[in-house]
Amino acid sequence: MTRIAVGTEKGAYVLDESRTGWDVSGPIFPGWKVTAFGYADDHHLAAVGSNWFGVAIHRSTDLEAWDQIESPPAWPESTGRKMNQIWTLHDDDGRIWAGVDEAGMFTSEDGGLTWRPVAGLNEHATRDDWEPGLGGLCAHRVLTAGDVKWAAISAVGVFRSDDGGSNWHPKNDGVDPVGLPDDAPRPEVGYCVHCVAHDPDRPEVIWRQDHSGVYRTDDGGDKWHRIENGLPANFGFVMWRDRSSNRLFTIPLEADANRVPVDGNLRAYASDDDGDSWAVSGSGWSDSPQFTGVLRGAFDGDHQGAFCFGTTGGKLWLTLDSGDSWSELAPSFPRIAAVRLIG
Amino acid sequence: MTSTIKLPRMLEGSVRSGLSHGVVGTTVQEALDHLFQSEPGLRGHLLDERGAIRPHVSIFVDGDQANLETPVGETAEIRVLHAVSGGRQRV
Repeated sequence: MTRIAVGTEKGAYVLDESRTGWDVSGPIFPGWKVTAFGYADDHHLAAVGSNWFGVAIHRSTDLEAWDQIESPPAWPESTGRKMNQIWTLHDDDGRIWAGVDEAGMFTSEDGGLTWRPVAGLNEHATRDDWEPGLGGLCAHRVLTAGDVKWAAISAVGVFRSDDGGSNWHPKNDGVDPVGLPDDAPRPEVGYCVHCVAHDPDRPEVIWRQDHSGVYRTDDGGDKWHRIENGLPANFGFVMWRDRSSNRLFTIPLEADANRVPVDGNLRAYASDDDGDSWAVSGSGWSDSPQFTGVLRGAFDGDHQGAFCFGTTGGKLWLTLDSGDSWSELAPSFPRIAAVRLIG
Repeated sequence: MTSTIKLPRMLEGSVRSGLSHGVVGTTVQEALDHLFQSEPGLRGHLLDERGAIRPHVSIFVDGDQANLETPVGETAEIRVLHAVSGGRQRV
């Protein structure tokens, strides 16, 4: 039976599929924005935040009883940076990478109990040129394959490390920066990556939903090229690769100035040729206009055909057959920021 | 004699032993430091990276708004509230 953890603007909820629909537990962390889920050391992790009280990470073995860890990722006072939000908790074979705002990464090797900053990225030589976008200055996505790591930082770009996370290099060649004329020199940083995904079997092939369009790299980020054929718009925040079907998903939104589906047609788009062409994914979509968005953390898949996303309108959409058929789940929630399929 | 710190309900998941704590200290800073010994997870929720009271957190001692240097009597009640704030500054 499918189980889904949902992080919202006001608390987290757990959905359990039942014979009659979905049983909903929660809210967990009432009043807190739940920004990311993770899993390590036999514990579920939840990152939360509050405009009043800052950030925290909680751990649980059963999604019911949660313990807040004593020392979440924190910027040293000497940096002058603020810890505004924890955007992602990426499990890398037992090691966790946390991407945060103000942008940077922290890592934990004890299941999230203690954290240390990733100095090679956080103090990168280009740091003085990092500027926030509309969503802040945030490291929001991490990909890993052995010693090779990728970090996506909004309004800065993708960085790659080939030595386990010690040294990092911007990898954005071929991506158009936002806010510069076409003939302006390409900067080293200043690329507004929204999401990246790869297939663990071919980790050097990465798909990228960027502010400026949809891209793929076949060489780990050395060179990117556009893949937008068949999409109604090239803006959005979602990119997911289902390993079982080799199917790729994105959810287009009209444009940066109008972040809703084109004509209200909320649809996932799928590609069966690594992004060379796209089409509406399967059936089951609503005929009624859905002027809602999907945030960059608000989706998850299990690589076995299940893929779920949540909307800013608080609804969840789910496929269990790699996108052949979709259903909107009945419960409604506050604005959804994070989704986790529980195996 | 100890003073008492009362915390808002939103911090219920961040504490080990409830929202009301007896603390010892002659200033708000000392009282908070005592609180953090038993509730270390609260430090980052009440103080910012520089050790100042977080921008949208208010602390009152016996009903009067306080700062970290405010004296605390032996039986004082220290209340932590989250502020109501917003709007736009008039220029």
